[in-house]
Formats: sequence, C-alpha cells, structure tokens
Amino acid sequence: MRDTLFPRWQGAFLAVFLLADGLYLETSPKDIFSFLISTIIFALITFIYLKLLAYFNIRDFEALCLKVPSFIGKPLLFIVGLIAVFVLILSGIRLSKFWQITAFPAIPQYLSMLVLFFVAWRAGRRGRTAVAMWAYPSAYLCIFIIVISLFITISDSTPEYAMNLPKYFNFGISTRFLYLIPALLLCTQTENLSTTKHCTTGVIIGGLGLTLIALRAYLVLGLACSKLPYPCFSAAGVFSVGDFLQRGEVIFACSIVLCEAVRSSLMLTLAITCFRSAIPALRKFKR
Amino acid sequence: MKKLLLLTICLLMLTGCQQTKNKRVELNQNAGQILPISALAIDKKDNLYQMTIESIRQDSLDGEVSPAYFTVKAENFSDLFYNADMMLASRLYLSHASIIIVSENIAKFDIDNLVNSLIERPDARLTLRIAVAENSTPDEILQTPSVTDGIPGMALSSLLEKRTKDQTFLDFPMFRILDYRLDGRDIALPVLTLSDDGHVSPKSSIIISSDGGVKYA
Repeated sequence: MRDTLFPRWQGAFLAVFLLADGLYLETSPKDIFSFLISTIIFALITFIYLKLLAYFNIRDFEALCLKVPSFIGKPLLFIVGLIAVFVLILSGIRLSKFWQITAFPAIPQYLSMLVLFFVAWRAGRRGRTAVAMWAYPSAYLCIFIIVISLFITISDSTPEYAMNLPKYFNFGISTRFLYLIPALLLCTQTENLSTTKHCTTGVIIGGLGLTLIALRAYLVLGLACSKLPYPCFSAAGVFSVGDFLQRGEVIFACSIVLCEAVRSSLMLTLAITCFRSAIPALRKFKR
Repeated sequence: MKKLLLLTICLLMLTGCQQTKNKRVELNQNAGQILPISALAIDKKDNLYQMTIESIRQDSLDGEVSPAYFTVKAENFSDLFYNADMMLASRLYLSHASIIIVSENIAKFDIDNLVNSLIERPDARLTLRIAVAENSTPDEILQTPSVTDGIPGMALSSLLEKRTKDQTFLDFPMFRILDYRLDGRDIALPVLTLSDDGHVSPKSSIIISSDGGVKYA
C-alpha cells in the first residue's frame, strides 16, 4: 500500500464515490435535508480523521492496523475487507437492477454484474493509485455533466415546491453516507503531502452533488417521484432540444455509471489490500 | 488465451435467449427489431380499449419516412401494448412518441390508469403529452393529414408544443399530470378538433378535476 496518491486524486475519488449513489436517491424533502446534513457531518468526520492521522504521524489505515497488536490489527483488516466486498456486491446488485429496469430488460442481472465486476477488477487490481488517477478526470467529466443536466432542467421545476421546502427541514442523517467510511480508509496522509483540505472538499462536492440531484428530481417531478423507480434518472430526461438532443437522462446515467465503476474499483482495491495484509499467505499471489 | 476468452464472452452476448415469467426474450432484443412509434390514439368502444398506432416507416434509402397505422384492442392498457407487440415481428418503441390522443371519456375516467401503464414502460417519455379529441374519434384526429408535409402525429406534437410555448395551453406533460393527480389537483389537457376544411386545429383546454368533473377553458 506504499503508493503515492496526490491530494486532488483522493478528493476526486471521494467525490466520485458519493456521486455513484446519484441514480438511486430518495427524493422526499426530508431526504434532501438529510443529504445536506450528512454532507456537513461526513466532511467533518473526514477532516478529523485525516487530522488525527497527521497528528499521530500514521500514513493510512493499513499503517494504523500494523501499528496496533496483530490480534487486533489483522481481524480489523479482515473485517474491513469483508465490508469492502459487501459494498462492491451492493453496487453490482443495484446497478444491474437499474440496467434491467431501464435500458436492458432482456439482459440477466448476473451478466451485467459480471461486467461491472470485470471493469472493477481490471482497474482495482492495479491498486488505488491507478483507480485514483482514473477517478480524477472522471470526477471532472461527471461533475460537468451533472451540472449541465441540473442547469437545463431548472426551467421545468415547480417554484411552489421550492417555496414549501423549508417546512420539511429536519436533522436526519442519510445511511447512504455510511458507505463513505470504507473509501475514507483508502486515503493517505503524510507530512509532505497533506490531503485534509482536498479530501474534505471532495466529500463536500460529492455530498452537495447528491443533494442537488435529489432536489432537482423533487422540484421537477413533485409527487410523481413516488411512482417512478428511479426519479433522479427520470428527472434528467424531461429536457430535450428538437430532435437531436433527447433522452438527456441517458447521458446523465452514463456519468453516474462511470462513478459506480470507480466506486467498485475502489472497494475491490480496499478488499485486496486488506485481505493481503490480514492473510500473509495471499501475498504470494500476483495482483 | 485471455483475449480468446474475452472474445468468446463477447460473442456469447451477441445472441441467445432466456425464459422470463411468461415468454422467451432474446438477449439482444433491445439492440434491434424495434418499431418506432410517433403517436397513439386511444378510445373505448364496447368496453374494449382500442389503440391506433402511428409508426414511422422508412421507405427509401434517402431518409424519407411515411406513417403506417394499425389498431389493436384489449381490456386494459397494459394488454393493448402487449397485443400490439404480439402483432408485430418487432417491438413497439415509444421513445419517439410525443403525443397520445384520447377520447373525452378516457380523459375523464381512465387517465390515471393510462399514465400508470405508460410509466411502467421504460421507453415511454415523461414529456409525452396527452390531448383530447372533440367531435371526432381520436384515430380520425391522428390520421388526418397535416397542413404541412410530414407525419401527422409528429405535426400534431409540434403544434401542441408551439401552442404550449405561447401559453395558449397550459403545459401538462405526463410527469405533471401524474404529479397533479397524486396531489388531488385539477389537470388541463389540450383539446383537438377537426376544422371545416378537414384539418386538425387546437380548440381549447379541458380541465379535469380529481373526481372526474370537467369544464372547458
């Protein structure tokens, strides 16, 4: 795990990791506020975690586990590896289900899951440097598409829904953000390369992105969100320009699928790293 | 060896079929064999729904297209689409459809069922508009040649879009109908009628309340 990760790459993969949820979001006003609150809380958690790593001069989570007694460190690595596998499988299930309901009803779910896992394996086996390097341009591309998509659908929103939004304010936390914790364990922090600022910024960008995606769906579709399997995806498609720019939701979905691929690769990287550290016998196998 | 394995997997994905609940579907059925639909007209006669489908047929290699019409009947909206698929060697593709013309009775009593059956189809667009036929049946309105050249359904769709932009009609695409109906609010649908010279013209809006009451605006 001694690879160099530039601070901006790490910020990018945290943003992309969060944005991968963009297709499956709940869109009630309460959920929108919970995304906003969660963004603030998890940005704080990221900030504190990385500051603590810097304070104790520990490079990353793996280094932390190797510093504590092995009867604690190794099981901890193994558990984190299992969590990473769980998140990876969850990504596969939800994306394949999305594909089956929307674009490819005839393709069995297991086949589309295999495609995602294959992409994740190709990128993820090379370590987090490769994934993070890939995440950086992906983040720019996805954020650009999402911002354009949000901008062009503003005119279709219902202003009265926006006016009523403050009534639903609450302090709930979205459980979706809990999955950020495994991704956070991939972050590194060294004396020469401080990543706190960029990682915190990445979490804020990703969280705000999710909040805006859910908000757009609610303002455009209103109560219709409850009848649609993927309201955030559907809301991106209400805009069209003539005959040549239609089905904007497809472009939007492609950007989120790219995020999902990065997320899966990150989780595979984490799983491989944790299992190899926890079970030394695995190290003799090539990546 | 790896490349050969990859190539084999890719080739396997090009063809094949699987068993779903009640029928066999081809793995690549979405890639081809689709029939683009430009508009639909739905009416109810003798307790059966009747749907006239306007499909786009490409007759020549230079890109000229012409409409083709066929009609199916069924007891509910989902079966209408299923029966239409069964009639064809291809599959209905609603992605290009932008207008559905319905009779006043369907607009009053069956609009919720119609919208619900449409949102179940991933190819139906949420921006699809529903118009009401007056003094003629929906299929007569749909099949009336447009003043300008072109496919009648697409010409009607452009007409509605223009009249919505200049605020002759309120803008009620399908997603807004769904939203307003769930909220128990009134919806307004554009009314189309045949003029004395036999062309379709927009007339007014019909306002439908949640209990099925109507008034013209």
